[in-house]
Amino acid sequence: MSKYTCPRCFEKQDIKDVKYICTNKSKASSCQNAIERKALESAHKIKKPLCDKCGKPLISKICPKCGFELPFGIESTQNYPISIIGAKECGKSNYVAVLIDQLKNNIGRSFDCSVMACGDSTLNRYQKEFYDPIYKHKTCAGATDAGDVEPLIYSLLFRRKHMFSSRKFNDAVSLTFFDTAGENLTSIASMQTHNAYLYSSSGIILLLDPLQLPYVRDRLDSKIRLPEENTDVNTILARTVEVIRRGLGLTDISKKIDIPIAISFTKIDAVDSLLDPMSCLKNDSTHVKNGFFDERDFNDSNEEMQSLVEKWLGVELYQNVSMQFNDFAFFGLSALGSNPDIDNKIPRFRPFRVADPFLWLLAKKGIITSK
Amino acid sequence: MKAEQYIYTSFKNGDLPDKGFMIYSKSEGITETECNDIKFVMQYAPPSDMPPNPTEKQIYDNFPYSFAFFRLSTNRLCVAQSTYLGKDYSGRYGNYIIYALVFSQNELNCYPCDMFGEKYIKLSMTEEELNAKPPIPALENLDIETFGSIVNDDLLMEFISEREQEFSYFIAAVLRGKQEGIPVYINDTREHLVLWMAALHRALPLEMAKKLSFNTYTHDHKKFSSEMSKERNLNLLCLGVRPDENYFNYSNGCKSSRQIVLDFDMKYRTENIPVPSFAKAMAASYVLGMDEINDFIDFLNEINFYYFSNDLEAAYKFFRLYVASELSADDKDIEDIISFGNRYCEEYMNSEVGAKILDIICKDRILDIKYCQKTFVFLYKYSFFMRYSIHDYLYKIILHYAKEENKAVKILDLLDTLKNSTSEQFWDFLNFFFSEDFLSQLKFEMNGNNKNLVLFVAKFVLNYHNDCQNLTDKSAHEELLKQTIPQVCHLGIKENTAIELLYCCKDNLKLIIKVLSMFATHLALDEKEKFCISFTKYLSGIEQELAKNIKKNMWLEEKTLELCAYMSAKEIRDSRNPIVAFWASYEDNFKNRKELKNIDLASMVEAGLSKTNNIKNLIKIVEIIPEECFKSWKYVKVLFDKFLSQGMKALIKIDSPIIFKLVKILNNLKQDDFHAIYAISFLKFLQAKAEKDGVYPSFAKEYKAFSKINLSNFEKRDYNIYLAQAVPVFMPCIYDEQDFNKFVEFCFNKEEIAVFCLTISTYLKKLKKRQLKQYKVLIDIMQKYIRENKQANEKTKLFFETMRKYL
Repeated sequence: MSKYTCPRCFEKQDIKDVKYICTNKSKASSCQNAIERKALESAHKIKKPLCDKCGKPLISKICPKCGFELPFGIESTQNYPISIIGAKECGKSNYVAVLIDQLKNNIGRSFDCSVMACGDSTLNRYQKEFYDPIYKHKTCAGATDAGDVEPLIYSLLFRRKHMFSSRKFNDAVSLTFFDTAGENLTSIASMQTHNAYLYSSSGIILLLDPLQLPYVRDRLDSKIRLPEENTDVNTILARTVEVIRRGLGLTDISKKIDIPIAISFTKIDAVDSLLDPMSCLKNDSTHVKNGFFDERDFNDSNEEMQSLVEKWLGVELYQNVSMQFNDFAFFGLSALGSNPDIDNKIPRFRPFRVADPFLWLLAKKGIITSK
Repeated sequence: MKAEQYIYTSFKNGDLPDKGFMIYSKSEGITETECNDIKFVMQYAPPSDMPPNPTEKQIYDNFPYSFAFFRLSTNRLCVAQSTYLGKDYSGRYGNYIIYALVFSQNELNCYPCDMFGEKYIKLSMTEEELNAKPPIPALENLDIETFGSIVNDDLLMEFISEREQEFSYFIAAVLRGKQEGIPVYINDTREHLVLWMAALHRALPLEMAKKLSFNTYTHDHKKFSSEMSKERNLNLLCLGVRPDENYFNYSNGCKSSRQIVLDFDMKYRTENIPVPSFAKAMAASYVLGMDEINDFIDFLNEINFYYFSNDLEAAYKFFRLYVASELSADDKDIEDIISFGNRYCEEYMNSEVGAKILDIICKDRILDIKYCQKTFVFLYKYSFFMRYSIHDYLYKIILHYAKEENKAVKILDLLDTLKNSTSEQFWDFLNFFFSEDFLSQLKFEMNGNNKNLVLFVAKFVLNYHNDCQNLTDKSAHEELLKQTIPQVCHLGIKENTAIELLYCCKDNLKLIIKVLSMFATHLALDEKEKFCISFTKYLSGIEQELAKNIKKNMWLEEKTLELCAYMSAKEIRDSRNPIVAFWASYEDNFKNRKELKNIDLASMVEAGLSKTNNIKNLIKIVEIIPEECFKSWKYVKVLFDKFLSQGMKALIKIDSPIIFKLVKILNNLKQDDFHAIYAISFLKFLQAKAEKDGVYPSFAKEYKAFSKINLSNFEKRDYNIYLAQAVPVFMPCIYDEQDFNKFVEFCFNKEEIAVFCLTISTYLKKLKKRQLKQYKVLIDIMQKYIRENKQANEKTKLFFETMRKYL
């Protein structure tokens, strides 16, 4: 019997144990089971179960543990939870908003894939908390409240060529994005409570705000509006490592963590004046344009970002990351493309390199090709 | 009233790196668990239809109030309000403040909504507070002296008076939600939501209101149905949920059983929730000045009833009956009141309410049987000072329902319950029941021969036989028993019912034998036998020792001996050699009993013969068993059939006394179909008379007694054999043509007329040789008979024509 992993609770279960919900909500005669979203069991585990009230086929599966509506074809879907963490005000929500929009549009077109929200909760929450503020109202996403995080879960469908025929088929991966509040990273206890999913992640995008770095602040002071000083970058990294090691039971310090981590500096547009005029970080990456993960572009930006990190922070961050993680890379990106004004309005919305960390993680997993 | 304080908001936290949403400050007594609970319930996100970058005025004018009251998982109480603030210290939107007051259970002495709008409920942060340098000192405990300056009785009366019906439905909906453990989603303006909750709470005692949690606005209603909220007991009962498409669709939600919805704005609501009278009364009371609300609250406080459940309706009915002597026409109400009184009310209240119930029911109603049990137990328990009225009413109920088969059983159950739960009072009732006045009334009713009533009385008398031994007038009970059981038997009784009566005797051996004697005396024959079949099962179902004693006593008792015979029949039939078993049983148990002749042994006989056809066995039985013991024809017939099956040759050889006894048995049972037996007995009779008198009797004269017999249906072989034996006896009995006429009439068999004539002719030929004179006389008689009757009837004509051939 095939197994699957719930994208929400990460519980590995037999597909025969899934439950169903009726989706017959037609205006003329809505099924009571559908209205009540009642969890129905498949009688005798038949292949095509029917609703006991309206008799319509049951097509929506839900996780028997957490009740999450599972993506279509979950039994043949790989699940890749991706955690997006970062200190307060580093732009996590803005990043998630733009990344998902790019996934839906540019990336989808280039990589011959489509993205679908799993369940109303993701759809509604993305629309209300992420998409509307940035794309509709042209303002930053609001501050995320501390506490438990409800993930955004998407299904990414790739169209692939069949090995022996010209036909194309769908290959699905499920993505779970955790956009945690900065406050949840302020202490190890808080991280353990609210970010327990970290060790189940397939990849981590650690967002860092360059405007928090003393070196940068000293040079940009009075030129732009600087955010309040927040938790130290190395402290967040140290806490992340601890949560993962505890979760995985990885007590042997000499063993590195196998989860790839993308150390991504946001708001690169704000530090434009500190970059080399010829910096590749000033331009958008070529991955999306090429339709594959361009390793040359990646290497360029990675090396440049590493040298910037060394310049801005010294070697401590690089040392910490390289000592703890097998796979890591440095990225620079801008989710908004310009610094918001005092009313949080975005004067010029021009995101760039937003997808790079994410595409790197997909390439690492072999989901997209890299050249 | 002291409360601990809590403030949560997004805070700059001085120069410290940890910024954002955090507990700004709190009183020291509030635990971490409590902080988590408050945060869980009071987390605020603005509705999606509000502007994303609102001005302060927009927030002030339009953003919903999240005013809440709930119990923390530490069991302390929390009154809190979340207020949207717009931007936080970093300039980002989404900031809000939670201000919470935490009370110990007994400390809170006003309704939570009374604190709404009071100055100490913090709705914003001052610049000074936001810029304060950490660490922020802990908040002092707050001494609350003012409340109700915004939300008070006057405001609620004004509010509800325009919404009386909606309010009663709201109470019903919340009751349903509480009972079923599902949330109630309400929607209205932000001010009205507070007033709905305030009005609901105010209609209840404070201690009860403390059990009804609410939040007038939540952006995430689903979390209150999550397992986590249930585990922490934070699944609030009433939630203000905006009917925004992103949040909750009221038009669909009102059809679901996962929640109850009331959208006062758009008029969607969960339908078909019955509105209890209590809810209607509370709503009406708001219109009429809240007197009844206050009285009802006083009453509930007096009995310490603080459960917000369906029992409130019963509480209200009790209250109405108690204070205003009001009772509806519905018997169910009585049951509710009684159940409520039993569980929650003081004895003196129940006493008074019991008396009022009795007053009302005695006047004009017969209580539905299903409510009788609780009612009478209650009345006997609490209002026994009105014993005669209760007895009288119980008697009335008994007479009413005992006439209906199904309900009579319930009346017996009722009496049993009364006996078990109010034994002294029941004893008093028994004395009353067997008093002269009531007994004569009962007997009068029983004269109507209502089978159910008579049976009920029989069961009643037997059921409480032991209890009645100590009655003031014990003889009344005995007399009723003697009247009732025979009456039951005469009215026709099913065997199962008879067994039920025996069960009523419980293990009282003496009583069982007494009842069995009555059955043996008064049951019809076939009923007795059926009864014995069931009785055997009864014996195998009761305690072995008792069964043994019953059997023993039945053999000793004259009247029950017959029942023993029926029961023995079964044992005989089941034995390996029934005839041996029959004689053994007869010899052992019946042979020398003086009352033997009163007993029907037919079933035993039939059982004894079940595996034999031997004529010797048949003859022995007829010879030894008294003819009076052959009573039940269906078994006696088997005996006779067995005799007939032996054939005419064998039958004719049987001795006269046996044949005569067989005829007596037939006569006793008024059976005249067995012509062969009768014919043989006639033959034997004439022979015997001739032997006794020395002269043959006149055929015509003796034939009178046997005139119903004829040989017309005899088989040829039997006819032949019989005539061969009979004609030599019959012919000497013919002295004139009258005799001959009767002779022909008796022996005539149309089909076998030739045989008849040949037998006569053969006899005459022999006679001619031996006694010519006698021969001539007979020929002369025959000629005369033929001459006179030749044209008279067909029989003679046929006889003449056939006889002519032989003469």
